[in-house]
Formats: sequence, C-alpha cells, structure tokens
Amino acid sequence: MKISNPSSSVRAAALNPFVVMVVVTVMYIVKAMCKITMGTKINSPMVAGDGWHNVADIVEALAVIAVIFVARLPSSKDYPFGRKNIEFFTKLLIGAGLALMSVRFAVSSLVGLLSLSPGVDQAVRAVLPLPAHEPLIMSAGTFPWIVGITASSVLLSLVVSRYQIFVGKQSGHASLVADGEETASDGRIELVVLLGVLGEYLFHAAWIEYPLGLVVAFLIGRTGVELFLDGWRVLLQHSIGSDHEEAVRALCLRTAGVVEVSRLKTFRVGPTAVCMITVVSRHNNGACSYIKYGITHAVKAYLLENDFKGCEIEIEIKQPDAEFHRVAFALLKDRPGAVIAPTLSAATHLVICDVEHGNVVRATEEPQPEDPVAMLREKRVRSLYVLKTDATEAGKLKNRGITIIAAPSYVPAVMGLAVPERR
Amino acid sequence: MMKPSVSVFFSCTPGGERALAFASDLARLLSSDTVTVCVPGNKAVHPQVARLVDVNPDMAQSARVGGTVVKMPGFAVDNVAIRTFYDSGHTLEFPPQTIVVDARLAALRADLNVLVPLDERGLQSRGRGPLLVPFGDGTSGVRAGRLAVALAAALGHKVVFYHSTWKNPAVSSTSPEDHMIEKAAETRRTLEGLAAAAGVEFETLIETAADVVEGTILCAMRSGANLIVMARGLKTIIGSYVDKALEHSPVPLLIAADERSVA
Repeated sequence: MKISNPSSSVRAAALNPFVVMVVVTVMYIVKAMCKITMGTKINSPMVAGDGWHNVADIVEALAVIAVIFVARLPSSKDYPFGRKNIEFFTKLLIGAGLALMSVRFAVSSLVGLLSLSPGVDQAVRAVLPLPAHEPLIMSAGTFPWIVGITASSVLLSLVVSRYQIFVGKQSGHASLVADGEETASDGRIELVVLLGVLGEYLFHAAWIEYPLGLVVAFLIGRTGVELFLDGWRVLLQHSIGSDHEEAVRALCLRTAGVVEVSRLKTFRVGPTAVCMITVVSRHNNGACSYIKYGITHAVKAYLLENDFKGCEIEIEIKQPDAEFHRVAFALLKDRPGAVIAPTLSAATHLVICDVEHGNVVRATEEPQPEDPVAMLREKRVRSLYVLKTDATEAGKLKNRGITIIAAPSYVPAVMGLAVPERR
Repeated sequence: MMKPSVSVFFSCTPGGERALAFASDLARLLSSDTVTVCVPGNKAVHPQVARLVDVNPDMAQSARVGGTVVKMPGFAVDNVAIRTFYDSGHTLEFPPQTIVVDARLAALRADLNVLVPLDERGLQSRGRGPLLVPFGDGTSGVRAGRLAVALAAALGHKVVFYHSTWKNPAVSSTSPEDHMIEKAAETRRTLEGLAAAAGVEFETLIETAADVVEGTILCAMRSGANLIVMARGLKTIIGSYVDKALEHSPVPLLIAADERSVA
C-alpha cells in the first residue's frame, strides 16, 4: 500500500504490524456485522454464511497478533535465535486452511456447473457423494444489498491484503504475510460471487460464477500449498535453497585467500538465514580474520537483498591437506656451490626432504651411500630430482616405487632447496 | 604514460608457480605477449653438468625453464624471455616501468615496483575489482597513486583512494572528511587529479578506522579489490604499514618503488 507523504510518526504507526492487524480485525468485525445483519434481513444464507466465515477470520487475526507478539520477543540464552519460528507454525496452518478452502470452493463450483446439466449431475452423484447445490436466490429488492455488501467486501479485502503483505515483508513477519494471502484469497472468492450475482442480474447467466470459481480455487490452492511448504521447510530446517547456496558458495570463492568451500550448511530461523561455512585457505591467522570479514560482508549483503530479514554467518577456516611426503635431490658437492647432479650415479650427496603443502620444510644431507636406491627406499622417498633422467636408473627406481624427475634448473635454491649459509 | 612490463623470478615451488601464473596473467591483461622470467646461473658451472648438456649450461637451463614455464597450469602468455643472472637477484636491475612479481623481493628491494601475489593466481582470477590506494599525509600515497593510476589506465580498472584519519577532538562534525589534516587533504586532491587526468574512474573513501592497515585491508575486502597499491614511507624506520599489510593481507599487494616513477 502506498502512503503519500505521511509524517514520520504516522508512517511508523502505519508500518507497525500490530496496527496492521488491528486494522484487519476491525475490517473483519465490520464485514461480519454487515453480512450477518443484512444476510438475515434479506434472507440470504450466502451473505450470512460469509459473515460467519468472517467471524472465524477475527479469531485468526487475534491469533496472528499473539504470534507476532511472541515472535518479537528478544533472543535469550534459552532461545539464541529468538522465537521467530512460531510465525511459521501460523504459516503452516494458514497454508493448510487455504488448501482445504480451495478444495471446498472447487467442489461447490463443480456442483454448480453440474447443476446446469441435470442428466450428468445425476450420473456423477451416483458415483460421488457431492453436496447439494445451493442456487443463488435473489430478488430485485435484495440485489442492491448483495452487490453493495459484496463489492465493498472485495475492495476492502484486496486493499487490506496488499497492506498486510507489504508490512509483513517489510517487518519480516511471515504470519502477517500469510494472513494477507488469506485475506486476498477471501477477496478473490468474494469477487467471483459478485461476478455471479452481476451475471445473473444483467444476463441471466449465473453459471459464469462456476468456471471462474474453479480458476480462483486453483489460485487459492496454489497459494495454500506454497504457504504450507514454506512453513514446513523452515520448521524442519530445510536449506535456504540450492540457488542461494550456490550464490553463497560463489561469493566465498570470490573472496581473496579462499582456496575452496569444503562445507556449506544453511537453514532458516524465521526470516533469518543461518549459514555455516567452512573454507580452505593457505593464509595464516592474521589474514584469516580478514577473509572471514570479506565473506561475511559479501554473503550478508546478498542475503539481505534476497528476501531474508537477517542472517547469522558462522565461518571456519581450515588449512588444506599438507600432503606430507618425501622427495630427494641428487647433488654434486665436490666443488664450491652445490648443483643438482646430472644423474643419481654421478651424485656426491643425497638430500632427503620432507615436503608439506608442496614446500620443503626439512632436509637432511647424506653422502652418496653404497646403495643409494636402498637408502631412498628406506627413507620412503617418493621422487628423486636429477638434472637428466637416465633410462636404466629410472627403471631401477621405478621398480622400488620411486619416480625420477628431471629438474629444470641445476640451482638447488630454484627447486625450493634453499639452504641457509652457516658461519 | 608508459605501460608497465612484467618480470618474475623462476622458482619450482607452489609459491613460485603462483607468481608465474600471476605474472603471466598480468602481462596478458596488459596486452603484452611476453613475460621476462629471471633464472639464476653459475658462471663456474660444474664440468659434469657442462658435459651433460653439451652446450652452454645456462642456455640449456633457459630452454628447460622456458619449456617448464609454458606448461605450468594457468600460464597465460605465449612467449617467455629468460633472463639469466649470475650475482644475487637482490642487485638485478630492471627498466623503470617494470613490475616484478615476487614475494621475497618486497622486503629486500625498495627501488623496484614489487608485486606480491600472496595466494592468488591472477589479478582478476576472482572477478574484476578496483585497485585500492591507501594514502596519508606523506609522499608515499602519491607514489603509490601514480603507479596505481598508470596500471588502472592500462587495465581499465577503477581506483579507490582510501584514507583513515584520527578524530580531531576540536571538530564536532561526524563526517570523517572534516577530521583530515590539510596535508592529507592536499594528497587527496593530488591523487584525484592524477586519476582524472588519466581518465581513470575513481572513488575516495575517508574513514576514522582505529588502525590504518586494518582499515585498508577491511576496505579492500569490502570493495572486492584486486590489488592494494602501497609505497613505503621514506621517513618510517619502525612499523612500516607495507610490512604489516604483507603480513596480514589476503589481497595481493603492489609496492611502489622508492625513487622511480612509472608515469
């Protein structure tokens, strides 16, 4: 609902969920009083029955007020995420109610259609236990009352439902949105009734109400199922959806320092999205806090732009697998300045290196032993670096599970074997 | 305004591979088809090594390194110019507009534009973001700004100028800009003038962050910056912002040379 140039206090009041629900309750009281009084006076069970339906809506509106009150209570030690999920019970119930209402409305529309063809009606009733058809009883005297009451009811329902849905989305109250959808559904049903009344009066074609009723029943049923499923998913902590999860994953990978997203779990608590993320990063602790900040900033902005009213983001950063293994370098050290030896047999020394994350983290140097292959095997070396692979040597090493690799450079430091000089 | 060229030191390590990938990506973005790869040589090479390769050992090594580099995953340019050096790489000379991609040189060479890729494999490997230039009241911000604007002009990137100011207790305004000292405001005008003159899109953010480096990195993470461009303060003897940023930033850093300009 668009409110033109209100003062800030009036605007704040108009956007207050309790004010909205008071407006809704007043609307239903007025509707119920008018419909029951006039329905009884003009002897119209249709109008009076709709009035009693509005009495039930008053009770529902009061229940929504209570639910909003509970949902707005602040989070506590016992309720760390607050009590917002209570709104999704309401959503679940209203969704189920709408789905049932759509079935009832579809059946009464079908019964109306069948009444147009008595032969078919009789055949179907022989198989299915259908309710009795209640034809529209209207006289010239009752027509203006029925049109007046139904038209104003349609208008009120449609305007107030828009207001409820708008404020519900703004304030993040799912029960307000669900109640708004229910009000809108009431309005649609009333509109169909109005079209039937007008069709009968103007064209003697009351049947027009029935096919329209089927369409409206479908729309109401769809809304009901959506509300029910939405409530169901939140209450059972369904994920926030694969599309949102993919977007969150992509945002994590866009953050500098993130190697991969190893775990992503999401669920909703009321209108709040909860994301539990584990990312892999090679950075140290100093950078990790900034990586967390970057992810939180990007994911929060995304979620708040996409229907969520809040978010809780838990991020864990872990190091990639160290892939611990051993390699060896064949070195020539018989002159100043060690170089990588052309072949294993030409080496004067072997350097056995512990490798973590692809980097040499520890190295021990041994003079070339009598049986270097046995020593490499004993030290569990996976690969041996030489300058040029010799087919015979490579074969021998391969038989012992060791790969021989040709180093592109003869300078040990270039190969990651930077030995600090000692005095 | 000269376009920067790219050099990198060869190292057969994970960090070395990332530096090669980053350097080649940067060269490709600068529309250069060549990256200069620096490899150490040894004039007094061991006779056995010489016998093995039959030709000049350094030429053989260049061929082998060149062959290895172009096959590395993520290497993005067709040509590699191998430059063999015999003394320490710490004294190697480069043309003034060169950006040297290397992690270790940042602490050793103040006379070079050194890009530290950290854990990133390319400037835009995580999408396109701005270049972030923190500035204060000294000349380092302008030096960094010159380099950043030259690079942004060549790459078509946006530049974010960032300043963190301390609150002036005598000023009641809540706007951080009103707390800047005149020298910093002057630096801001110079930087914005440089960007405007080069036709580079820019934005200036002023904050009252408690810690300059923390504020800079947080701003880089918020804005999805591809690169933080900084310069060492010539008067700083302890507590260099550059060193602190190198220690903590996940975003790659480009440290502008002390004495030279690429503009």
